[in-house]
Amino acid sequence: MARTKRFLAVPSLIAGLIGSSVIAGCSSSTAGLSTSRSIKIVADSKSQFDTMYRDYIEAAYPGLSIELVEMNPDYTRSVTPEMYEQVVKEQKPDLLLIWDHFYSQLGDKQLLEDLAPYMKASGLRKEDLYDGMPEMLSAKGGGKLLGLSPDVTFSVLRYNKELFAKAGVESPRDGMSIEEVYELAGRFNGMKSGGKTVSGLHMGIFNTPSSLVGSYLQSEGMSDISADGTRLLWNAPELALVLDKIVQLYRSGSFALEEDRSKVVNGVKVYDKEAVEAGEHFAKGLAAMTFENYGGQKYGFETGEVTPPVLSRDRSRSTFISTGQIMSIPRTSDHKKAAWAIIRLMLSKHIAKAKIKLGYPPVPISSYPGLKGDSMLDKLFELKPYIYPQAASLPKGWDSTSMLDFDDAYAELKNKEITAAVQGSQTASQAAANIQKRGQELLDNALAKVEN
Amino acid sequence: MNDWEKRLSGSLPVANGFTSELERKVRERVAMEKKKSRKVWLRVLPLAAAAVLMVGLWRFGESRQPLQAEGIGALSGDAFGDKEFTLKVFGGGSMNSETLKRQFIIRHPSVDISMSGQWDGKGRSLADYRNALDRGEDVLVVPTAIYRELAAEGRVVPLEPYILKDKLDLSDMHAPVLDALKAIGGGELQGLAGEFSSSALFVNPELFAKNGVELPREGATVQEILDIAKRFEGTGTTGLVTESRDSGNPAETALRLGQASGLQLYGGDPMLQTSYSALSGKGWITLFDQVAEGFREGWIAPSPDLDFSGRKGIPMSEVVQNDLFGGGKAAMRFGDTSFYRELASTEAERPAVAGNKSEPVKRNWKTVSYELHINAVNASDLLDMSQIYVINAKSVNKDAAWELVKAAVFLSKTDKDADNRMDLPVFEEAMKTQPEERWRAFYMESGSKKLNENSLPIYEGADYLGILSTEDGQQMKRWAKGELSSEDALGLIDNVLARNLLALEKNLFREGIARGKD
Repeated sequence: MARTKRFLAVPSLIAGLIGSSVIAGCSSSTAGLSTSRSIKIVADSKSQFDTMYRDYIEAAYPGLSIELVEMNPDYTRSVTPEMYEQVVKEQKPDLLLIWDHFYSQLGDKQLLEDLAPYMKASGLRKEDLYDGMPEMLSAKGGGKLLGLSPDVTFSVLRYNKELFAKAGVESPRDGMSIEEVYELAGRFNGMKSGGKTVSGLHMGIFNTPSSLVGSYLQSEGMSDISADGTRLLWNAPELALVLDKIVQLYRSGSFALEEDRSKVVNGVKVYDKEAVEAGEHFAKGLAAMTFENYGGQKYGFETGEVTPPVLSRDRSRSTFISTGQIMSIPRTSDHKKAAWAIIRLMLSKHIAKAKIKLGYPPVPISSYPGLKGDSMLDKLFELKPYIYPQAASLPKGWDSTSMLDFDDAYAELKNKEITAAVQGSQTASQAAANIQKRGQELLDNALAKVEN
Repeated sequence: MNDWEKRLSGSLPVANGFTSELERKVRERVAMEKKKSRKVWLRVLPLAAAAVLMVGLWRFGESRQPLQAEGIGALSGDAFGDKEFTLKVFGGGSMNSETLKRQFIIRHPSVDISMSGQWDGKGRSLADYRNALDRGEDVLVVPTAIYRELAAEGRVVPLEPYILKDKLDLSDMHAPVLDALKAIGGGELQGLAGEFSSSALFVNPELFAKNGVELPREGATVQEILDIAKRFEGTGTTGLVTESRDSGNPAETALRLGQASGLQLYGGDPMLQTSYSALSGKGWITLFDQVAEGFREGWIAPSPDLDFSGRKGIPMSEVVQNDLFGGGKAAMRFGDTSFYRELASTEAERPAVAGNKSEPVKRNWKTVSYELHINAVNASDLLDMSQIYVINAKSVNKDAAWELVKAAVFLSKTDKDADNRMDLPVFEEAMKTQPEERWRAFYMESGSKKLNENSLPIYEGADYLGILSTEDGQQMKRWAKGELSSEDALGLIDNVLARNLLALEKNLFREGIARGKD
C-alpha cells in the first residue's frame, strides 16, 4: 500500500523512543511495549474503557497488564476536576482518558504533559492528523497540546430527497449558515405528506423553541450567557435579533411548536422511548431536514447529506465538530512512553481501518477519508472547528449539579416566552426582555446556592 | 462399580446399540465413498508434544517481524493487510459472534466478516449446514452431532496441519474436549471449540454441616448420592432438588439418574434404523421406586414454578433465588455448566444501570464430580460442545478461516464476553479468577475425561429426555405420589420413547444421515 510508504522513514525514531530505557526489558523483536509491563489508566468506567480502548490495546500489546482506575463505575457519581486531581497525585496513573473540561482544568494546573515533543520524536506530524483536533485541544489546553483524541464527531445536515423533489425546493448546499438552513426550512411552509404537516427542519427530541434558539446561537458561536457564567446577554441587540428571526420562522410555519417531552426520573432529565419515537419526524418522512452525526442510519427513503452549518462570519469554520474523549499523560507518570505508545496506537491507520469496519466515529487522522473512501469525509475533514474564545475552562460554579436545575428552569422559561411571542400575545423583544429578567433571577439564585 | 450398579447393569436387556465398532465401519465406508485423502502421519501427530513457541496470545504463525511503521505493536505484520475479502461465517450463537468479529477485525481490518445462520431460537438442520458448505461459507459453527456428520462426509478441513504449521500449543486445553473432537471427527481433529458443557453435583456445604451429613465424595455414584439425599428426610432441608420445576415431569429426574448409573433408554441404532426402547427391566423399576420414595418422603423435591404474574420476563437473579438450591433450601442439585453460570453471574458485582444497583447475592456452594456411567449415559451430560468451529474444505480463504477459528478458541482464554457464555472455557486458566471448588468438578477425571466413542450424542437424538418429559406429565405426578406403580409409569414412557425413536429414524432417513440396513 502506497499510503504506508511515508511512514517508513520514521520507524527508527519510534523504535528509539519506545525502546528507550524508560521501558526496560523491551525485547528488540517487539518494538512496542514490553509485555511484562503494566500501565495504570484512568477511565470513566470499566465498561466504557472496554468498549473504547481495551481490545485495541490488548491486541497490539498482548501481555501488557492494564490497571484501571474507574472514576465513575456505575455513572451515579458527580465527578469533579478535584477528584481527578486527587487521583493523579495519589495514584500516579500513566494515561488519563478524560472529557474536555477536566482536561482544561488539569491543564491549567500544569498536571499534563505537553505532547508536541512526543509527536515529534515518534514522527507523527501535525499534517498526519485532522488538524482541527489538535487545534481544539491546544485551545482547551491553554495553547499547549496536552492531549489527543481518538475520535472526532461531525454533524451533517441530512435531507429527505423525496420531500425536496416534491416541494420543488433546491437541495441544501455544503457550507450553509444556520440562517440559510432555517430559511430553506421555511420553504416547506404548508406542505403536507399523507395528510400530516411536513416541517422543513426537525431536530428530534431537541425541537423545542429553546433548542432551536440554542442551536442558532451555537451555530454562530454565540452565547446567551457571559463568559464568566454570571450574566445573561438577552439585552444585546444581536441576541434580540436572533430571537426575532426564530419567532418569525415559527409564525411563517417553518417550525411547529412542540413541547419538551422529557421526563424527570430521580432528578435526572430523561427522554424515554415514547419521547424519542414522537421526535422521529425525519425518520417518519415528516421533516425535510435534520442534523445528525456523520455515519448515521439508513432511512426508508432516499436521503442526501451536506456539511453542517458554518459560521456566517467565517465560512471555513463550524461549531458542529467535536472531539471525543481526550488521552493525556500526567506529568507524574512513571511510564510516559508506554502511555504515548497507546495514544499513538489509537491514532494509527490500522485501528482507523478496524474502526471503520466496526462502525465507530471517524478517527482524526488525515488518511481517514481515503481509508473510508467517502467523499463526504473529504469535505468534513476540510472544515475547521470553531474555537470558542472562553474554551479554556468552565465558569466558576458551573460544574455543580445545582446548575442542572437552572438549566432546566431556564429552558422552560425560554420555551414559555418564545411560545407566547409566536402565538402573538407578546412581541419578540418583550420575550427577550422577560427571558433576561426572569432568567437572570434564576441564574443568580442558582449561583447563590453553589456559593453556599 | 458397586453392587447396586452391578445389579442394574446386569439387568440390561441389550448392550449399548451404538457400538464403536459399528460406528467405525459406517464411518470408514462413508470415508471411502468420499475418497478422502488422509495422511497417516497426521493421525499419529502427538498434539501435546507439538513444539511450544507462542509469543503472545494472538501472535500465531507469522514469525516475520516487519518494521514498526506506525507503532502498532503486535498488530503489525497483518498477513491479510494487502488483501480485501469477506470471510463468511455460518451458525453459532449471536451473542459472542459480535465479540469474535470484533477481535478478528481489530487484527485484520482489511477483511470483512459476514455472519449468518446464527441461533435465533430454532435449531438448524443438517441440510442448512450442508447448504452453507455448498455456498462456500468459510467457517461453520456447529453442534457436536453436526460436526460428526460433516467430518464423516469429508467436507471440512483437518486442522492438525494448521496447528503444526503455527506450532500452536494446545496442551493447556481441556484434554477430553480435544480427545472427543478427534474421536467424533473419525480419529482426526476436524474442528475446535472454545467452550464445553458437562454436568456436576452442586452441593451446599453449610446445609450439610448444619444437618451433620458428610459431603459426597468426588466421583460419587448416583446410588451414593441418593443415599445421602435420604439422610435429609425430615430435616426441613431438601436433600436433592430436581432440575425440572414443580410443573415439570418428575420422571425426568429418574430417567437422568438411571442413565448416569448405566441404565439404557434404548437399544439398537437409529442410524441403522434398528433402534428400540429399552425402558424395562428390574434396574429401571428399582431406580424408579427409589426416586418415587424420595418424592413421597420429601428428600427429593422440585423447585416451585416461576411466578410470572403478568410479567414478560423474570430477572436471572430471581430465577436462581427461586430454585431450591439457589435459594439455600436444598443440599444438592445436579446441574450443568449453564447452572454454574447462572449461580456465578448472580453473585457478581455489577455496575448499576441508571442508578439502580442490584446487590450481588452471596451463596454457599461448590461442586463435586459424580460418576457418569460411560457405556450408556446420555452423552451430552458427560461432555458436549455446542459451538465447534470447522473450516469448509471448499473455502477459498482457508488461512483467514483458520485465523478466525484460532481467535474463537483463544477468546475463551480471556474473560471477554464471559457474561454471554453458557458453557465453560476449554482453557482452565480462564477460570482462575473464580473459586476453584466451584468449577473444578467440571474439569475432573471422573467427569468428562471418561468420554469415549460409545457415548457420543447422535444427531438430534441426543435430547430424548426433553421429548419424554413433555408427555404424560400428569400420570407421572401420580407416580411420584405413589398412586401409579413404577412398572406402569415406565410402560407409559416406553410407549412414548418407541414412538419417538420411530420418528427419529424417519427424520435421519429424510436428512440423508441414516446409512441404510446393508
